[in-house]
Amino acid sequence: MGYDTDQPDSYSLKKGIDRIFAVENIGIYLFLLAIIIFFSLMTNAFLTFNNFIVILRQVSIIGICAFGETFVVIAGGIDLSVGSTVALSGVIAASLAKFLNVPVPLAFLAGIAAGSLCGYLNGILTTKVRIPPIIVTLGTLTIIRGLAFIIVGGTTVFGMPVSYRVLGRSYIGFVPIPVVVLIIIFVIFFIVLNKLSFGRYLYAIGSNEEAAVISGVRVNKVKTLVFVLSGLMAGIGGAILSSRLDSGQAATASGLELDVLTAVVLGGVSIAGGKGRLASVFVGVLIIGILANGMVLLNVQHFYQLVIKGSVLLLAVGLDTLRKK
Amino acid sequence: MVDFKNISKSFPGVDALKNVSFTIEEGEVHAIVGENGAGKSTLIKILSGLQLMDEGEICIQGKTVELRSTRDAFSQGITCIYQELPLAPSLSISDNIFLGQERKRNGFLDTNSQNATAAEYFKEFDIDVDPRTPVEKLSVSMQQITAIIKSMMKEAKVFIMDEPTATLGEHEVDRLFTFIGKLKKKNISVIYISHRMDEIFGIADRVTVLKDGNYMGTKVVAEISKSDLIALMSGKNIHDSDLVYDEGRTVGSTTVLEVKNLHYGTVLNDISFGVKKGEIFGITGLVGAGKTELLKCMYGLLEYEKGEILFQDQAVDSDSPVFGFVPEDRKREGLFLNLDLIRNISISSLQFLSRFSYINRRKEVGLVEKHVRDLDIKTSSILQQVQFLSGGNQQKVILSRWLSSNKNVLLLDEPTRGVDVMGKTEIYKLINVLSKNGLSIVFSSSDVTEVLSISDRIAAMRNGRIVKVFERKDFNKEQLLHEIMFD
Repeated sequence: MGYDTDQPDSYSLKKGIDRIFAVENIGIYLFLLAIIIFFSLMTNAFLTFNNFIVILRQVSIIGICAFGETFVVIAGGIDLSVGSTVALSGVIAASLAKFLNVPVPLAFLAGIAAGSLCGYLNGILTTKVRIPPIIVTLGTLTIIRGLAFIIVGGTTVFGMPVSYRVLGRSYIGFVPIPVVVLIIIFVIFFIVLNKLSFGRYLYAIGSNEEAAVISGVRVNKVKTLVFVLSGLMAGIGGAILSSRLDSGQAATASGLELDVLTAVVLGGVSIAGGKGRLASVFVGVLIIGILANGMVLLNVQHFYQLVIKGSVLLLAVGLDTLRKK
Repeated sequence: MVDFKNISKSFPGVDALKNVSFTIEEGEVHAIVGENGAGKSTLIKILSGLQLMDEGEICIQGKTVELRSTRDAFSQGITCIYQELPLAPSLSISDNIFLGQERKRNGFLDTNSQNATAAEYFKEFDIDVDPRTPVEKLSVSMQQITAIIKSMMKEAKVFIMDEPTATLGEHEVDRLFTFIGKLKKKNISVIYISHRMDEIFGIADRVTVLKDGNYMGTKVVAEISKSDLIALMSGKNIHDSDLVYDEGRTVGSTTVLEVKNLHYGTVLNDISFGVKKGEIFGITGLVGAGKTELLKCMYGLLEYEKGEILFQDQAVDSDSPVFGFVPEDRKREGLFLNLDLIRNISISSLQFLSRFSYINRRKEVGLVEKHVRDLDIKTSSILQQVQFLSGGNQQKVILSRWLSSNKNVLLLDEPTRGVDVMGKTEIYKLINVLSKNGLSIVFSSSDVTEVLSISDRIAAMRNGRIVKVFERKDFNKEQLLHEIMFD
């Protein structure tokens, strides 16, 4: 920081390169570029505008949840209940619309509210009962999934009014609505994290919770709110997914939290808290989406896809750790 | 034992060490003193292999050595005893000592032999302890001793101790010093770094003074006076009594803060006092007297069973703190070490720097720059992570956090611990300015001289009680010491 001013001019090229590599998480930006180039060379179907839109739509739910998860992780927590919450939100929305004839927008809102409530539960258990977040959300992961199954009695709910599909399947201009939602949420979360005092408190709590308490930050309130936000995002994700599938399925989005966490970690967010950038998480989300899309285009078998996806995570994070040494 | 020859090291913009040469003899306790930023830590880091020197040579027992890593240093017999001790808390003393070089018999751990040998090691230092005791049950000084004995098994010849007494109580310090005395007899050298003059005069054989990276000289401790040493460190004469108390201040008549019949477990017993507007209220007592707990109860970090804490006649709600608090352990409780100065300083005043919670970056940076200038915080940039600042500068960061937060009361717990002489003076000045502006200050410190020189009144604490409150006109060091030490 200001250190390079003393270096002789002959190093200016090296300095320039160093500076590029000094950008936080530069590794994953380069990695994103690399896989885009790779898939473009391998298949003509990859680098088209339509395919790009498809990728964005495919990652929209992971992305929305990842932004919520990023907040939780920066504040030093973790939320494993994301996938279950997505399912619960969808099941509630579908059931309300189908069986109680609740207007579709209200049904979605109810699903989203249920998601926030799940987050609130996580928050209370973490801050008031003082169970570590990883255990809290491990518990609620199972509970919430169970609730989703209970609500639909193990069946799939379908046959909602036609308007139920709008949220997940329609476009604004040529952009799918889920992508619009993804981008709006990104912008809002970016501002909250970087410009509002709430965002500042997240970093402070993740960096040193005790110091945050002593600095007058209302730590418990902030931590609870952060889980509510994560639940809210999962709720929105659930509404979109249920609309896309035009059904309410309790078994859906199982294991989604792992993809979400992969994106967050790929994005360089420290699992120990206190560090991380939202833009990099967006890149992490894109990497996951592009890999999945590209591998399908190349007809890579599903089992191999799993191996590759996991390896990419380790490769990207491993390179980043080595670079810092 | 160790020869430093013409050591130089510079960081961009700073020459941390300039041509420093001196020798550590075998079996001596060699203190290194200097203000914050004098180059002590850099020198120690070079010797323990954490940093490379730019120029110079280090010889150990006459042989030039290269110290490129902590492992190099270790294999040359140099061990640094950090505040964070490299011990596994849940393992026993002997398990810790033998960790990585366990004794085995037919492939199984030979615990009995390990325990017997560990007990012998401690016996050599006249310490009787059960080697099966888990390390977490030991006092801090015993943990330090365990760590030292552990490295002695690996033939350590030089120990570096950086502020080893910072977390020790009075009689624990005695135990450590007795132990260091015995280390000397075994021809082991100790490099001792401390801000506490009394310790240096109590334990060190020789003392080397650094100032702004320059070598100022090495003196035999028995042949130099405290004031000469301080003069050498600071370049000017500073006496303990140096006009810390500001006569120009006036203490208000209204009582802002009131503590009534406070009880907290067995630690605090029926504590009552009041602090007036603009007053500097000193609290002193030995380690363990309950000072820290009292401040934490007042701030709302500890839940007390009985009693009341009133601010402007209203009960304090522990959920929304009305006081500013500078904690004793600044690294663990005070700072966001991996965040920059901006985020560390503005954290408590964001509500004044933002509209609808949107932070006004320009206002924020302006405020932080002003504090950095006013308090003369030494940093390469306000974007620097605070973990890279020296102790005194870190303390100023925490203090400056409260300057713009509109708090009426500041609770300071050992605010000058680990801070050098000049840094202390600056902190005292700052406290005086704050109290002139109408802030009430609760100044808790186990340094009696310091409390006497800055406070308007002093509460003497002993065993969880306030045994006496002194008015400034009645200040008397001996009496105060007597109150805090004797029943």
